Amino acid sequence: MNEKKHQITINVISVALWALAIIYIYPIILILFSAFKTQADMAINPFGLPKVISYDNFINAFQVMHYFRSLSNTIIIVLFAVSISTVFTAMAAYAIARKNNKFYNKIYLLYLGGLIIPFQMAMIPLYKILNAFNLISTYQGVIFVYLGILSPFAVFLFSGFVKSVPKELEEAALIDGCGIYKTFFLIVFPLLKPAISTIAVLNIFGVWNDFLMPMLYLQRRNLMTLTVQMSSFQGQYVTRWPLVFAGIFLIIGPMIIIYMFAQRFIVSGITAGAVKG
Amino acid sequence: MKSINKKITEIKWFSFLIPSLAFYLIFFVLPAISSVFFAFTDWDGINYKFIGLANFVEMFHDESILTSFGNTIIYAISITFFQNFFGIVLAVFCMKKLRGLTFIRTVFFMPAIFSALLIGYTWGFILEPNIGALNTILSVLHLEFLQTSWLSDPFWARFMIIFVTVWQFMGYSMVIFVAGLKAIPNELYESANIDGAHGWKEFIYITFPLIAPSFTINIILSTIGTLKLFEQVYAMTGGGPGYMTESVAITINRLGFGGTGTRWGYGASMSVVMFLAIMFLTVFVVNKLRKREVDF
Repeated sequence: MNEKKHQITINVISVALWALAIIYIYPIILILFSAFKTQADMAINPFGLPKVISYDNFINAFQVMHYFRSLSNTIIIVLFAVSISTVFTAMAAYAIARKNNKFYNKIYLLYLGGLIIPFQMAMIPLYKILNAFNLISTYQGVIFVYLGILSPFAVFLFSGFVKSVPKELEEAALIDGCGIYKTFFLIVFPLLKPAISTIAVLNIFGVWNDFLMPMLYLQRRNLMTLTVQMSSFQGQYVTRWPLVFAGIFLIIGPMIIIYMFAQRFIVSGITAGAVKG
Repeated sequence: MKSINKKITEIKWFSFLIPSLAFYLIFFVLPAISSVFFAFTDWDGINYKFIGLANFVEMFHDESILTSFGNTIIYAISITFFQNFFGIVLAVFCMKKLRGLTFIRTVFFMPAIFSALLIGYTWGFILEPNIGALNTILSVLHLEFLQTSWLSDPFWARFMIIFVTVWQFMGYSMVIFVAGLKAIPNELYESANIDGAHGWKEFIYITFPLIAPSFTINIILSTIGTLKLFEQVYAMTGGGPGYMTESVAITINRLGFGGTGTRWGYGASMSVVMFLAIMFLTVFVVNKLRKREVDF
């Protein structure tokens, strides 16, 4: 009897949560619906299914946001920033975790400090520094800044992970005459694979979605990333909502696909920092 | 000979740090620290001279800056509270053996993976006064008297910025709480049930004390995150009407790169205040909440 009652409660909660989940995710569904509407349809039917499916918004959005150009800009920056940052921070974290003496602990604290420094504090002088190196409005400039700002969290996660990797393999390799570099790149780095995928996936999302930094330092239209392009075109076409939604859809679409394949890395990345504290 | 070898090994180890450390120092730490220096100057981007504490004195007499600090405190407290409150509630429900649990969890987490800027634009449409979904729903329900220009009224605009941010990130908190809940051994619940603790009592005496580590990290993440709140405000209100909904990050951006001229020294001094706030809060929260954490 009790068991049956329990089952009913579970079912009621399930149904309630499902209903809530659908209302909850409605704004995301709205992006999809609206992107296929005509301007006239949008005015009389702002939040239902489109009456006629129209692809015009996508064609227009492709043009006004220079989609292929901004997409390639974003992909170039994401690829270089995330891959280089992953290798560099894994190296630094390896030295920090294995040496574990006073000096390296201080360096570790230096990285941890970066976790609480807001970007706003670096933002203004950074403009001057990039300008001095002629890096304003260049891919390298933005990538270099990412190598800086992505490092605290990556070093934090990597060094925790390296400590859980047994030392024996490295010691054996060293005895066999493998140098430190070879040992790291051939033996340790492949062992870090779970941490690498987690950190890389989190950073892909972070860089893809970033807005403020590329807005400030990529000022030429042909270098703009998707989010920056979106903000400039949203301002011009603020009343053409279907067009704006098609633009939004073109930016979040790739992320939805990556999310479906990489969900567990995202969740493990978020919780890795959390469980260790 | 041996000591030379040892030195070479040391240098090799150090060389592991160099690539990452160089970029980290030049493109993040150095500019951040120089903000502390420029905070005491009237830097306009080209020239600067020392003006002592003048920036900080001006800041606390500047109506727009005080509003911005006030807003940021309101945003930080309310977003942190509601995001974690709903995060815990969802996480507790998500631990039950529900139908389609993976789907439910995916749905609640999903908004957190998107750019806050784009989410802001989307809600900007929902809250749009003429054809936006919220006012349309109110008119369908014959509640026209409740309709308003949600993002033009300072109170409702602040409310909506808080609401949208909580909506976007409560799934993120939920995921961290779920990880914390999963780490609690089942025997504890069983023995609690034998002792007669069920439901609410079980939550207060078992669950809540034992998820303390995920509670700490969640509070820190959302506090730091909301003190830096930028994109939501930028997309939904742009800081307006006037400067009524500006957050500190928005104000710094306006001072540094806005249309009204570049007051970089003044912007730098605000960013220093922002950093100090984040630092003190983090230290405070870590110390307070760490005490609650127990080993099990």
